[in-house]
Amino acid sequence: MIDLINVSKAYRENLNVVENINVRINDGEIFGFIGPNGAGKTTTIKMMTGILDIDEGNILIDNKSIKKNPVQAKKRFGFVPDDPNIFLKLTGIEYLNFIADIYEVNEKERIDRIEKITKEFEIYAALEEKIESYSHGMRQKIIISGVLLHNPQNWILDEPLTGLDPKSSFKLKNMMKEHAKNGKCVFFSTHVLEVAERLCDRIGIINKGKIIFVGTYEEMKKRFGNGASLEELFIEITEN
Amino acid sequence: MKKTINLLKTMLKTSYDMSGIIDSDTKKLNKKSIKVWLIGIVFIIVIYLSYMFINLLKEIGAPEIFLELFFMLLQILVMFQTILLVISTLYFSKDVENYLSLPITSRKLLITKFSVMMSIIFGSEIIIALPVIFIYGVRTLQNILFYPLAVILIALVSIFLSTIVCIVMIFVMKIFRFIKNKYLYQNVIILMMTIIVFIPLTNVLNSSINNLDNIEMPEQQSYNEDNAQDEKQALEELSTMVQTIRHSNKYFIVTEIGVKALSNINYKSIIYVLEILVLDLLTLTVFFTIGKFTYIKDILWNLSLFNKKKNKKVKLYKKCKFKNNKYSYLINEIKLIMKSSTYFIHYIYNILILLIVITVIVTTLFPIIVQSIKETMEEDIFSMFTFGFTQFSLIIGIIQVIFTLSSLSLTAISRYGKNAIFFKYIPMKFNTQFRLKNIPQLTINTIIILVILGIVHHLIPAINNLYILLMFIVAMLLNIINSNILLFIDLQRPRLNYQNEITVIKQNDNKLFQYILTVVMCFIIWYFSQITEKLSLNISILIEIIVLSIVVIGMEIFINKKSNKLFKKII
Repeated sequence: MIDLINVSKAYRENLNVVENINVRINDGEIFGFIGPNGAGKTTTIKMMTGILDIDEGNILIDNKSIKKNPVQAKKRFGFVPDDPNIFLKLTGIEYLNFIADIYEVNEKERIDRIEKITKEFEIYAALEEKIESYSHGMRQKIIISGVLLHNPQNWILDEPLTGLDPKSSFKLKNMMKEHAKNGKCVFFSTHVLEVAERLCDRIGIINKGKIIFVGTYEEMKKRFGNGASLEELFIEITEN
Repeated sequence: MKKTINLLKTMLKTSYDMSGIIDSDTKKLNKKSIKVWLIGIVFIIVIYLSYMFINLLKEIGAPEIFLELFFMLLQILVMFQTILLVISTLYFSKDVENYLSLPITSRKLLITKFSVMMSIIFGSEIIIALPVIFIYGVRTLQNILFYPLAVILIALVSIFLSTIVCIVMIFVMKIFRFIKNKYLYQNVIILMMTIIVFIPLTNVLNSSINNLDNIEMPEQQSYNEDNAQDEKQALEELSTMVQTIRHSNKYFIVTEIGVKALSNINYKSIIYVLEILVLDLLTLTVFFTIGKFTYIKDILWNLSLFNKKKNKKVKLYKKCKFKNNKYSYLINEIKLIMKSSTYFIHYIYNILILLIVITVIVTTLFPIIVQSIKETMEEDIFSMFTFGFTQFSLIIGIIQVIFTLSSLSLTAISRYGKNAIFFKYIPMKFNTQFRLKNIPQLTINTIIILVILGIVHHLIPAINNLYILLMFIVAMLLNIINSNILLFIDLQRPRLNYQNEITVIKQNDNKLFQYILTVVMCFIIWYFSQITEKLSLNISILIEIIVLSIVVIGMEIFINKKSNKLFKKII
């Protein structure tokens, strides 16, 4: 469970980039976070993951405060950043092993999971190669594999489907569903509204630092107009 | 020809990053740039040191030794620079891939790439070599022709030496093709080139030194003889030293011709210049002819090496061993430095080479200098050697200066670029990460300390082992302070927008703070030696250790309490 309580952030005085956000993402739920460029999505995700300090309010990951108890809170989530160009000099297997050490995954579990996940993403054969020789999609897959490896309670994914081929994208979406089905929580940001529409249990729309809607697609349709697609609703909500 | 010139223009534009040095709006020198100030400072230091050295040589009546030394050092500088550049510019540069699809012959591409490399070497010579030789010209009242001749000679000598290194490189690259790992391949080639180029140089120096030993010295004079005879003997000693260097330079054709051309400016100097020019043309013809057949093939080989798929079967049971997360974090830090040829060369390899060079030079030359001083002086000044706090501080000061060469902690965060955010979302305390990130710098500095103290112990056995141990303690405290401050700087001014590894090193203006830190530390060490002048050696050292320990403890408390704030700027 991820709980954002009255969260605000200002890079300059009196200029909030995120203002008083209150959202709770429950266990067993896939939550899609959408908004136009510069709306505050990345800032919110950075605060949730401890990359940015929170000016006001608090964020709880499974009731552990990222502000007061950061190490415990960080153990409770796995994060996929928007840029997968990380640790390029390591081989795929070295990277996964490093992540497994950091998150203290025991030997047997890590071997089983690495084999299962990387075979599923079809990068198993490339594990002995350096990440810098991987394509963008493969890099994305190895980062996602790193998150799945320590099997956290909460997934926080920043644009996870960007760069993935249709097959891997399909598999990841299924994994997200499976994760939620097991009573765990998935929070992801996306620009692909179609994905949000089909995949998410609930959607949060952020614009100019404020959450302007949180709810299911059905609730949104009821509130803003029946028959419209999510794309049309999104444009209407963010423009007005 | 036009095509080659156009290609060269494009390469020069893309190879040089003038951002910071030239103001993009006014197209003039950017006076606000730290780089411009750094170049200016280096320029002034070089001028000042060479001025002092030439004056010293004039005072002892041997200014002619300067040209011999100058060409010997120029030779070392050019060869070492070429070894590094030939790898990064000629064979493993990023842009070379873009030119492969163009209709350019192997020879033309090689000529342009070689020209780019030479322009970089000439650039550093303008800052380092030209002011030195000009100062010499002014101080020894040389003919006006001396100056243009010096410029032409330095350029021609550099072209000759670089071409020789490039020719050797072609063969070395072919020999080591069995190494399939790109980075290991690069490091092995650099190491082999250094050995191939510098072992003959060391051998020549050694044989010259042995020859010097064989030169019949005048019998040692009794202490009662008059000063005139002592002076005469000192001059004889000096002349044998000049002979040694001359003897060494004889093995290196161009440097000997260079010295001859500049020591006495007349019509013969022009002939000497023409001699070097002919040698240059010969070596260049050989290089471009071999390169015509091999250059593109070699580049394609390198590219295939980079993109080669191993198809190796993953042995998960072997690879996936559980390690403590702190140990794993540290291993990862070290791996990323060792696996990158750029970081390895700039942060580790250069230090190791420098330490080897210092050890070789000091252990071979120093005993001869001591011997020759003993024979010249009336009294055995070395038996009168006393070890005090000034000497103690001097050794510590030297160690502090050598620390400046390694900047591992200064880029501990910046090396990761945008992905440095990784360290913020992993479940590990920031103070633990701070300490782990400092270990590579602490280790390399510890190696420096051990080597320098080892040399000191070897050369001056009169120093009690206890003082060597105390020097080690003081140097280690300085090591911790240095490493912490460098990491503080990188955390406070992280540069996370670097495009590639080389820009992390070349465009890192935080390096200026490291120079300032060294100056400040040296000043503090000197200040200590002044204020404790009247105290006994043991008390002075004790006070220094206590003060430095307090600083280290203070830093540790700060890191523990404020580590969250320290990492704040990584976003």
